[in-house]
Amino acid sequence: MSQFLGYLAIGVTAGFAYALLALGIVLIYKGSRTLNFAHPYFGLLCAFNCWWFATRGRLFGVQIMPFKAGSQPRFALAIVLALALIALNGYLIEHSVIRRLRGGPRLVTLVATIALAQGTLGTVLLLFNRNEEQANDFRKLPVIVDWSFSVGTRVVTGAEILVLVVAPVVCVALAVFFTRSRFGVAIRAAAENGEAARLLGISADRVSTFTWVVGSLLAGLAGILITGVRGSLDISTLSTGFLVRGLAAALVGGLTSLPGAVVGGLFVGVTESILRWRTNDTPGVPETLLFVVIIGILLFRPGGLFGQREETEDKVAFVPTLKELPARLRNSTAAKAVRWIGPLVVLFAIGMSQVSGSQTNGTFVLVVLYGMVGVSLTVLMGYSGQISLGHWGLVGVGAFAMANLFSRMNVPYLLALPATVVVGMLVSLLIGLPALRIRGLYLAVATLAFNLAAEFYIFKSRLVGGSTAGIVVQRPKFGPFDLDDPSNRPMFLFSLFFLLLVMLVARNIAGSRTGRGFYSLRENEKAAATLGVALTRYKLLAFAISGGMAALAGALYVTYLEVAESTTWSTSRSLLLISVVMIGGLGSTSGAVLGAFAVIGLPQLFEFANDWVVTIGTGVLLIIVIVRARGGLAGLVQKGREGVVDTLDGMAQQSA
Amino acid sequence: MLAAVGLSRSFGGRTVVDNVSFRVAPGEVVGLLGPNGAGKTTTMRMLLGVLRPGAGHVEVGGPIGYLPETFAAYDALTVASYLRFMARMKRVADAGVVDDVAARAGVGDLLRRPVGRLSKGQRQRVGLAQALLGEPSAYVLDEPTQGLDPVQVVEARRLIRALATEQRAAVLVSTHLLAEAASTCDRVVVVVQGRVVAEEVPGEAADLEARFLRLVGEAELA
Repeated sequence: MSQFLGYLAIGVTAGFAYALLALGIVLIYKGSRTLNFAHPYFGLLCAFNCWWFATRGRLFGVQIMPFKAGSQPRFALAIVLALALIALNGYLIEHSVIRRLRGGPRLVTLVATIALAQGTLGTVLLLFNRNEEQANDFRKLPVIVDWSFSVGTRVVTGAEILVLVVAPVVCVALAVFFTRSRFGVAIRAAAENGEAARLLGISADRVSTFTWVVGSLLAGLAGILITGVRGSLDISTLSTGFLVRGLAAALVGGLTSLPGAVVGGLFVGVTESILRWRTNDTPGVPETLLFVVIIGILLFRPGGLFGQREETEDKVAFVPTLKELPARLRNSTAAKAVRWIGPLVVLFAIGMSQVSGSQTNGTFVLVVLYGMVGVSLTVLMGYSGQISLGHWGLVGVGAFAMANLFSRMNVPYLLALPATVVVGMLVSLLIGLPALRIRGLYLAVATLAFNLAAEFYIFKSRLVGGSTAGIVVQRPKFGPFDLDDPSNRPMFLFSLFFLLLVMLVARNIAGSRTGRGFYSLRENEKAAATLGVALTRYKLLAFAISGGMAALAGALYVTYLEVAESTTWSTSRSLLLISVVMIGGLGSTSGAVLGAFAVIGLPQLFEFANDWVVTIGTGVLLIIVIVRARGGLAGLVQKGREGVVDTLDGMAQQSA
Repeated sequence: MLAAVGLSRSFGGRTVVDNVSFRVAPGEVVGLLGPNGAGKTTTMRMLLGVLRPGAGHVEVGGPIGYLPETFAAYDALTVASYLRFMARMKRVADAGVVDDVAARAGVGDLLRRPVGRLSKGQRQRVGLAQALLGEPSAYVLDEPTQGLDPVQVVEARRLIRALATEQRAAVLVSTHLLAEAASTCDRVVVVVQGRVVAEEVPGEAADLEARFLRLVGEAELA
């Protein structure tokens, strides 16, 4: 019994922390129709800033903070400054990015917040994790509450007491604001019925700005409190784990209900803690619970326990249509010549692999395999408009299928490869089944939760993950063709062959009846259904095909890595994959490979001394693609091609 | 050959390493697995003879190639001059040796770069190159894949395994990641709070991770 009370106490504290995160997410969603995936990273940035003000505070060799480092008044001032900065950050983001995207498809703003997440994380890396000295810093926030008490077998620390005091106060303050003040009521009105609110003179801009500022403040506050509870601060203190917990809490409350967010937070926190107690702290159980809760809520109580389900018209209709060449140019000699560029690039890559060492070839393998995952995501998102934020998890399914078949059951490699593809298709179908009921933003959250559950539970379980310490995979040898060659050259050629195969399949689908079915799904589900398109069949087909391709990439990746381990399949990689396909140009298979080259390959080849360059760069590029150039790299290539063909054709006609 | 026999050591009354024994045979990679602060580095320093054991002794067959967790080098030195300097310290004939170890550790194209301008992964590989100097028969590698990206991890693991299989060296690798140990090591020695709590063959230890986490008492909330 006393043990139970102890775990209950942890659960309630954690629950209030999740509730603070969920409140911010819900508030921003109400005010700007944006599901903010950057939310925990705002908290991370704020906690880091706070730590810096409280303990460092030297700018260009000048101490800018009064009071002694680490002292109480200094910490109080640091909290105020850090919160002010994060609020300003929210204000600027709303003004420069979110406002421009209002009225567009909501999935676009979702992808924009993924870019913001990358950018914010990159900023933290740049400011606080730039070099070895900084990375080894042990960061601790000063202590505010210095006493503790015990509940059952567990001591409730000062930092936890702080959460238990501050979070309820914030909840009450918000409740008073939204029920008693004019502006608070106005925000609720705007969320309820934007059109009517506008007629009454409530400015949608003001509402959106306000919610981003307050939402960021809540994220910042949560960041500081959570850092206190966790004891120390590093870049992994708040990441995808807290994102999914915040989202789950928000979903339990129906995504638009503020009281619902608080109840959701407490529900997630307490159940998680009690499960930990019942399972004797078995790792991965909380993550699986989150997945089950999210899927359950979405399938059976889509409106959450409080709100109404939002009928969303979401689609990935932000897929750019890449124009073909104008008819008059299509058959010109110049156009025919340009068509050789693709095969030439492939030949060039093969040539390069012959003269490069094992490092460079390893990078090539990575680009090819990420390209393959990109193509798989292109079929799902680009062709049929179904979003997946858990695709890296699907790649992991392929990896573990291969490891189990080949290493544990001794199935011949070339038989295991197609078998892996089948496993990938089946698992992807399973994920696709809820997609028949869940759409848009909700599907995004569900797939993200799948990846988290896979990373922390499925891939670690005895059945799938073997000894729980990973499965070693020996690279096979086919006659003289030895994948285990230290130069990595055969590994590259082998992967490249399958990439070309996958691209060919994807292109054939695009031009077929199935492809047109996918497109109709993407553009307008209702219209497609009216015209007699079998929605269910095409949706499941898209998931199956995409899953098969992802699994193939996973099987090859695990062959390259030589070990299947759960930590490889981190959820944040799934978000990076969205950057890959968007920067490459969603909807184009060669774009996906270009994206993989830009996002994965270039940083590896040039070995940038710092990861912040890549993280911030990816974020900024993604924002540029969303706001300015939806076609991404593929779009640029397309434009360039048109220009070149036009000029060449003009020259040819002049000389004729 | 590399062996620790009943090693103990305390600093200021706090026992950091407590009666630790294990043996690394030639051609074998053994992982020293434990959370941060378990006493892995202290054990390694005693094996190297840098630190005098409080009790017990070490058995070593010859010079040891050592990769420290962070190595000290003048940041202005180029990789080549740093390696040449280390070669002279270890009394290794220089001709071609530097180029050879650099190529094997994958830093062949970094030779002219100042050490201070390297990334974490590059620094780590330079450290590895330095450990290879003189073809020692035993290696002690402290967190060798820390800070490396996936491609470099694959390369480093292959190099470590080659040291054991091709050079027949005894290799001791410290790590705080279980999967890391599983993929490189023939055997793991789990150390918690200075004591050996388990010795396992990673592939056969079914619930090692759950047990490991419980031993370490880490709350997993990533």
